[in-house]
Amino acid sequence: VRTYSDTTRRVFEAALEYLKPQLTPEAHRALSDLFAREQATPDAVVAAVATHAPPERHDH
Amino acid sequence: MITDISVRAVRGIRSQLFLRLGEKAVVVHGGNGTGKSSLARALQWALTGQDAPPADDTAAGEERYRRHVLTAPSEPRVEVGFSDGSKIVVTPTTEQVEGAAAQFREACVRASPFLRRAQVLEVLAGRPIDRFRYLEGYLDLAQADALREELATRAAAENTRADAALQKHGRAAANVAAALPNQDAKRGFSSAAGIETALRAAAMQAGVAQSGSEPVDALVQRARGFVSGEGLAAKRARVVAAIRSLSAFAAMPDCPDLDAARAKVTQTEEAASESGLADLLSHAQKHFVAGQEGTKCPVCGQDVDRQGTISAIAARLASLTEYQDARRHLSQSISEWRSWWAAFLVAARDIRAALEVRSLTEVEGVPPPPPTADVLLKTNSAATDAEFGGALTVAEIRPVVDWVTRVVSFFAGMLDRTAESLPSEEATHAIRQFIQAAERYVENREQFVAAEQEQKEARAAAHSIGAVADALRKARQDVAKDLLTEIAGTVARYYSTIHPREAEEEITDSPEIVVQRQREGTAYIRGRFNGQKVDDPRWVYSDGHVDTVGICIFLALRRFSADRARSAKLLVLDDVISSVDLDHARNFVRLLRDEFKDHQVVLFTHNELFAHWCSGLAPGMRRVVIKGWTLEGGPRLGDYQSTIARLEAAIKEETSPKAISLLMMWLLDEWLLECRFVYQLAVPARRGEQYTLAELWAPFVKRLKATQSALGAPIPSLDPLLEQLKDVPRVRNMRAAHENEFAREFPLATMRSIATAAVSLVRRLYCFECDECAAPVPGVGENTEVLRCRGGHIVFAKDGGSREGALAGRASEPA
Repeated sequence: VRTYSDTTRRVFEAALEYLKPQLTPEAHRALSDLFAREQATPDAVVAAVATHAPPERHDH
Repeated sequence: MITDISVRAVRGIRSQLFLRLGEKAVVVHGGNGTGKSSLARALQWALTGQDAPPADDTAAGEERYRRHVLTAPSEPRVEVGFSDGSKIVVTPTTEQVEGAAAQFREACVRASPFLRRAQVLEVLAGRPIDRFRYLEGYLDLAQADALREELATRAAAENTRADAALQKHGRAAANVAAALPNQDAKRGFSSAAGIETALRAAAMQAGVAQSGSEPVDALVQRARGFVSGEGLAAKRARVVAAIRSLSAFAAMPDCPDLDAARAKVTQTEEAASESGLADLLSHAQKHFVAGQEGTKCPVCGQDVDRQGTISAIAARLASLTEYQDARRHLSQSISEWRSWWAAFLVAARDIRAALEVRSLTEVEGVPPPPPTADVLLKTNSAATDAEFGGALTVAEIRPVVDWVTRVVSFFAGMLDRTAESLPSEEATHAIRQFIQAAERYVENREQFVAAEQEQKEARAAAHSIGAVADALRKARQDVAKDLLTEIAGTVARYYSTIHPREAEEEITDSPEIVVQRQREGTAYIRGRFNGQKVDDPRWVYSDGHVDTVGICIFLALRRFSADRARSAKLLVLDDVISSVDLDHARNFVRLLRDEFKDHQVVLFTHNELFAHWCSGLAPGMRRVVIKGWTLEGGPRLGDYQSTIARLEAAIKEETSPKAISLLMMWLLDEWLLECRFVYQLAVPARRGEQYTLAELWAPFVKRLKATQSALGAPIPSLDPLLEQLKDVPRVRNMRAAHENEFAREFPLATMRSIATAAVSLVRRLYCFECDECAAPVPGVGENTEVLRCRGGHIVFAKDGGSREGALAGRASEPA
């Protein structure tokens, strides 16, 4: 059963575009999959990006 | 669909009020203060939870005032029934939602279907950022926002965790830093590595370390060595003593070659101890005893060779002497060697004392001694030279000498460096400070590392989660902007429906919604007046135009939500068109009819004429009239009985001609105002459509005759009816007269006849199924071809020759 509204889907698609350069390909795929399956709970999203963590940020 | 609403004790509604809303469209008509808004608010409370009355007497403000001036309401309660049998019941303390009503209510909360007159201008009056929030409230961003907000919260929590770890780390670091005198050294205290670097710097400053790369633990150990025991001065003295011992040792003559001396002894010993020597000496003695007379040796009979014997003895003595010399030399060499060794042992002792080691071999880099050295080192220092020499004969001495040479060379360099590196006595305090700081660090090192690791992990998590949250924020802005641009197009279309730009007197254009991505997002509403762009429509638009802008924005947002199947298909509009003139209000009704067919529309209005026109909104639209309001009971509702039905009843039952005339005037007032638009009666424009019947009647009659002329055929019975109604203006003028005077002029029978003609005229031209007048097609004037209602129930066609012509005169008059 699809529960995401059209707007929600559009926002998630646009967010994935923004995240392309910021996430590893694995994390991006995992997140994209979560959105597609409409299972992007906060826990699932956190797990996805934590498992495939982006490069560490350095504060210069 | 909502089928009914039951309200008690909400605002102006006191006792129980029940309203059936079973139809697609309902218009509730009542004067000011009759409870329309109370009814709308009650519905809003039930469906959105907004404007709930307080549950107890601690209420303040409006509610308190109402309780003070009105009879106390008891148990506010609203019940809303739906066509599927589900229902919503709300009280100030409870909410009961059954069945599908829950989804309906959620949708109403998500995007409110309620609009009040007071709210129409809010969207225009608010700040751009608030306007943007209001607009995006309809965009169904809740799911994305919920995820974004939760992720942002979690990212913040991770940052807080990192900060806490940093703080924990910082407290321990401060404890370490407090022990250090040099404030500059504390700069790098944000990490364990930084602290170690600072400690190394402190160690170097105190003279404990020579380089910045030694492990802190080793430095601590060394520093402890510096300040332990008798102190730095004594340590320095020991190093100096060791250096002196070494120097003394180095100044000694080279180590004698014992091996060579020993070999010499062995070699000479053999010569000296030859067995022939005794015979020689004995023979020589006999020679000497025989005297000088004999020429022959008494022993061997050989000729005496005196000179030869002397030479042989001399030679033998020389050999013996050489042996003795060799033995003496060996003895001397052993003595020297012993002195040399003793000097080395002294130096070694001093080195051990200086370096505080039990054995030289403990010092890293010192080569292991050869086995001979072990024997020597184990020899009692009080041993005799012979014993010592005996020990020396056990093995080769050369490796020992080589080893000593290397060791002496090694320690000579080391002691020099040690002397150089040994801090001055004045550095004792700094060394003790370093030790204290370093010990504090070492004691908390695990905590430092754990806190640092936790901080690192938390920051990484915050960064990852924050990146997703930030992307969602940007994405929602993009999407909101796109959707609001789409909605702005709908607003413009709706506005031009209500205020068509092509209309002769229209000077305003559709508003434009400009969305910008400043901060959370901003929305500006621009207008266009007389072709010029206007930053704020309120500057130049009339109240009616401004209200229309607000209404159109609300309707466009509702349409947007409805098209995405995420909103309740309901519109509750409370007196929203009060500033819009009735001409444009008709366009508003058409807009609702055409664009919101799929909605249930509930309109509240104080304008009776507007309520009448709203009846064209949907087939079978229900019209409810609020008959009055009392302090004790609140509003009284009743189904609206049409004016024509009331007039027909009055014609039959009423005995007062003036009473009949009153109803007839209401009917004609109501009807002629609509005719003014349908037949485009030529009357001067008047604000608020405040025309009198006298002003409209003559143009109306004139237009009908012209239309008949254009059609080329009389509308059946129209002319006789108009003839019968020629006294209508007079009837109206006489209404101010006394009852009896009126009756003299218009007796009951006459009045009944005129009223009957009025009813017939209305029924001839007004279709009660379509709720509209038969309108000229294609338009008013000489080119009119047909006069018909939308549903074709009333059709009067030109010359009777067309398809409509076949129907000419077949006016359908519903019972």
